[in-house]
Amino acid sequence: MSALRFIKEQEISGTTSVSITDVFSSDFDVYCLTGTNISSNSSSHDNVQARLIDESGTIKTSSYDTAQQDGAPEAAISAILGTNASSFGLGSFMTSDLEPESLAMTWWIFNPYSTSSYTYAYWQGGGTLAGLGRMRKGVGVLKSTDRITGFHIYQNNTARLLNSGHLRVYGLSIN
Amino acid sequence: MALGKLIQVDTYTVSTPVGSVILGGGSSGSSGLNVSIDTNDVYMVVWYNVHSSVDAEFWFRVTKSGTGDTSANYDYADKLFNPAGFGRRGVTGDTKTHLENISLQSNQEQGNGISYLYNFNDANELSYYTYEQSNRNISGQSSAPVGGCVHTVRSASDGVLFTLSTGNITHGTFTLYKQV
Repeated sequence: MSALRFIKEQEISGTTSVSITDVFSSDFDVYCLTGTNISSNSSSHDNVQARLIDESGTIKTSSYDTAQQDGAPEAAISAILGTNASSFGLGSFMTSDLEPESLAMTWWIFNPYSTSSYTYAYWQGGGTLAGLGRMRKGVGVLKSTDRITGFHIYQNNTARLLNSGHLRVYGLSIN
Repeated sequence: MALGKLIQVDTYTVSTPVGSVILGGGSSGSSGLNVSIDTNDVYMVVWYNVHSSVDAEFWFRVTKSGTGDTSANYDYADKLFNPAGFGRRGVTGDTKTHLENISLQSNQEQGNGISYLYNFNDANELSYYTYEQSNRNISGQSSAPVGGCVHTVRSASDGVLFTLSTGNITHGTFTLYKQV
């Protein structure tokens, strides 16, 4: 059996935000989350942000420190930085656009279930918007020892919907 | 033939303070499992919740026959991700790769990361590795050097070693996998 263990998949369809819940537990300390083929219902591209969910089902909206780089072929690499922010940062789950332009992300998440440690993460991904490729790479920490059990992504502009895609969560087994 | 699996090779969780942790490295390995990097697969190293007894630099080395190589043959370059701004490092001829500056568990200043190892088993090749991290450093900042290193000695490496510039590693889990 592979050390990377599939936990859960969440389909995305016609919603401004998506939560994938009850995926972080005492079974694992390190998790891999992937988002693939995620598109919106609008050709006006929009940033998608990421947050964490605690064991009471509350989406955490504060105490994130984050540093991201945004790479675009038509412009210089830019920085997206934040301390004590309300999410892992603007576009921390890339930027959505109308199909066939989509986004894909991979996240690694450390210690989410622990109540003696903050939750750490790093991510990278790519997408296309307005006909151009785009890359985003970032790191961050939720400065809270609350028990984290889920993951949440949302459109920055709630007038636009996430139309399609998948979220998958895997746990990294350590024996 | 590739099987499409990630296989655990070695693991060690620090329960009492130690000066260093070795994954693989045969009989020198911290786990006592007497395993080594001994195939031509890509290997993956994961570490998390790493703390030290004092503020210290957190270092990474390759092992040769189970011993951490301290020769001045580590060339590495990385981008530092930090909410205070980005930085860049380019180092040649170092005696280790300096991953981060970490501290006590009570300060929530810890190291977490993943490294991929290439060509370690090949005696005719240099050992390469990349690293990605998400840490909180001794200044309490979210901090993450992301980059890669080459050990500029043409010989096989049989493991990896984690250590500090001073003090002991008090917490942390370190695991070695191979992709088959």
